[in-house]
Amino acid sequence: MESAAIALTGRQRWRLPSLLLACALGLIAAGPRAVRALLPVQGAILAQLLPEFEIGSLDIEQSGGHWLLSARMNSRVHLVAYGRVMPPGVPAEVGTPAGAAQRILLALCAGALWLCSRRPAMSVMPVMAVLLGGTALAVASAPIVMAGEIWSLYLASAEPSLAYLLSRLSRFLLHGGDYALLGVLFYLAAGPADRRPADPA
Amino acid sequence: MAEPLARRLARVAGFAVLYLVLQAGYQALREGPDIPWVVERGIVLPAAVLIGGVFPEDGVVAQGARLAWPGGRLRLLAGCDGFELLIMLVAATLVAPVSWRRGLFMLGLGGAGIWALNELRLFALYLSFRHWRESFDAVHTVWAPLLLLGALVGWFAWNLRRSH
Repeated sequence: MESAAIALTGRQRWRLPSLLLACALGLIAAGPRAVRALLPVQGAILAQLLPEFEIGSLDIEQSGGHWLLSARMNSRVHLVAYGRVMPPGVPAEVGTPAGAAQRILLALCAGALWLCSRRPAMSVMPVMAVLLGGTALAVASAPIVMAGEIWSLYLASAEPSLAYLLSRLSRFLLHGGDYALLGVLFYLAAGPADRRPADPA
Repeated sequence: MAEPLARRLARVAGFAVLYLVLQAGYQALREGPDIPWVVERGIVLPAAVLIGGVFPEDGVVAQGARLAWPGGRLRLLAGCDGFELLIMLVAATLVAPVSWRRGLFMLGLGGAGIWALNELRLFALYLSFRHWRESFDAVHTVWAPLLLLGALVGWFAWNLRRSH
């Protein structure tokens, strides 16, 4: 974050803000369906977090007026759920609001535009760092929330310590933790962005 | 004048600790068997009064953590009560480089502002649920939270600028 020496000048200065604005408008126009582009990466994260399950489907669906990111999975191992041992193949279904990732991405675009507007000769590195970190958050939060739910339902009694960690992380993100992480990212980036690129500090 | 990175990191660490403690307390409050009094009386009831004032013929009343009317109801889950933003405001203000007077001002007026905006959010949710059902998901998941977050960030940035 300290290496803020790369600066955009002249017409270049408008390219990144224009791109951000275009992204934000695209996100607004596409609605939750825009998040569909993230599905392959989210599926890979979910598979890493839940190796005990095979992902049958992961898609964005409309259910009762809500857009949900839904996953249908089958267990690969024996599960202990509700006090009963279940054989492999038990189906599990979990969903989370698809708009949550869209919301993070929109907040990210708006925040990055704000960072860009802070200096006439802005530093590009803090903005890029925020964009990368925020996108990673938008991509990873839904699979973490879904994995936390599945762990709590099916695997908590098998490995309570890991279930606890995933559940805590899932609840942290569900109850506004994504805002807090985004806020921290912007706060850390705002310092270097405050300096002119020529500043020796 | 930008702060040194070490001081920024110290503030982030302080914010993280405060935020996690406050959020754990909030979760314990919301995930317990009973609906907290503050949610029932401080959030749902004023929203029912506000909606009843604008649409008296709808017959909206507060029932625990629900807004209920003849033939329907809207349940306020954790997150719809504005506490998530209040927690952020408290944690961020307590580590912000501001005088205690400014901090109290930020907490007092900011807290009241979050509460008022959240009541408006509940009003908008009710309106979209009853009359524009197709837009309810977008209002609930994207636009209302973003507007509240934007207001909080704007309030915080404005106060920091004023204090310098």
